[in-house]
Amino acid sequence: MAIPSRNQPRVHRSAWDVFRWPVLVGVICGAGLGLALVGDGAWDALSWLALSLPVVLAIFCWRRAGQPR
Amino acid sequence: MVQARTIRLWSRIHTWTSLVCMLFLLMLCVTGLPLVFHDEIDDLLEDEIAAPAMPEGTPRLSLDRMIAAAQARFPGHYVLLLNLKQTEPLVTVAVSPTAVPAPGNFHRLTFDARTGEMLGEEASHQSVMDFVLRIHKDMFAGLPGELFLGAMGLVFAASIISGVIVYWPFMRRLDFGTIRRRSSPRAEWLDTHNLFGIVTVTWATVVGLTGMINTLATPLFDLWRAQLIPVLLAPHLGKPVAPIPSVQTAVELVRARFPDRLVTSVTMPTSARFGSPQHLVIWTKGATPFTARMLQPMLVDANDGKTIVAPEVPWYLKTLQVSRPLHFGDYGGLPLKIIWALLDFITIIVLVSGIYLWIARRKSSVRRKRLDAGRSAAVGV
Repeated sequence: MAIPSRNQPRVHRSAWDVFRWPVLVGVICGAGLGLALVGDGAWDALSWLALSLPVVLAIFCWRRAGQPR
Repeated sequence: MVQARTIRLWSRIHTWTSLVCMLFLLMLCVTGLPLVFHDEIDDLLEDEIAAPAMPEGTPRLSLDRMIAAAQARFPGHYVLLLNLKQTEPLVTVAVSPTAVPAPGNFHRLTFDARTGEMLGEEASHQSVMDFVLRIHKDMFAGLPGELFLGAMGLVFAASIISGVIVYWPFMRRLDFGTIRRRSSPRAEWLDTHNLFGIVTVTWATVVGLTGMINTLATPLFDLWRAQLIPVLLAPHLGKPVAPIPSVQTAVELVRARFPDRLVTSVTMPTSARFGSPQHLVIWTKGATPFTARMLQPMLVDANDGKTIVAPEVPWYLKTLQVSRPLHFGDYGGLPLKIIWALLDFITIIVLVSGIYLWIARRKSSVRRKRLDAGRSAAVGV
């Protein structure tokens, strides 16, 4: 559902709609933080992947905001 | 409407908790950035003493030889402690002219563990990173400074929680990940603040929480010591500080009794806070990546050189030990450090955008008040 980046006063999302992505990112980050503690090698690599999610999201959304629709 | 009032309340809580801790959080984040790469920067700037290459399996000399060599180099000085480097066959011996070392007034001599040759003396000056660390840890204010920053951490936690609560009304009308660049700059900054803030919540909370726990390190360690030392020293009341027994023998005994632990350092009998007057304190760590964080001291009675006391590390110190890697981000190699630094940078953007939003809101409300006053004056009220 591609709603352009403008306020849609009539569209009120539920709490789950608003927090779905943040919760997912939060859980993945939490896992990422713990994984590298447990072991080396593959565990570290999984941790890097998980923890790079917020960074990737930030960069991706920032660049997308600059692109004309 | 109750909901609108609640939102306004939480919005106000978020604004005020953020304002209180903002300056200090900014300082912590900015100093934190180079500190993530503490070791790497030190390697670049400071001269490292390296062990000369030798064939694998070259046997190591007795640690007592290093101690004797250090005493020969500085006769009359007190040997404080011995550090066994884990990554290289080096042993560092710290000596001080006074029984209780004064800060900065001691020598650290590095020896080759296999030949007993003195390779050099560790620099006694503070590196740049040590300076940055002092600012970050306690702003050069010692324990009160540390505890104050810990309190700021609590305020930060309140700011994060209220921020997450306030995220909901703001994001009810927008898709996740939206940044409205076409609208006003305030809308763009608001969206950036919300998005960057919400994706880093877990990381910021963990780093903030572990930072707070770290500020309690000294009091917690003192607490344990206060419980332990009277029991340990009860049979030795009235005795002067014990002479140094054979450290090599003691270390071998500990290694035999606890084969799954690695010896990292040995503290000589001393009246100083960090040791015991009647024991050698042999610090050990685990061999697996997780237990490498768990430091446990074994105390060897210095009077007979063989009685070992292995006190149980209390839960609050174990918690502290796990908080360290989670705060520093140094437990997953260089890629993890890079990601840590990037997340720190994103947090700085969240903080700065927060300030901008607060200033922008104040300006617009001041402007509105002036307009209202002008209108009233024109009407002649």
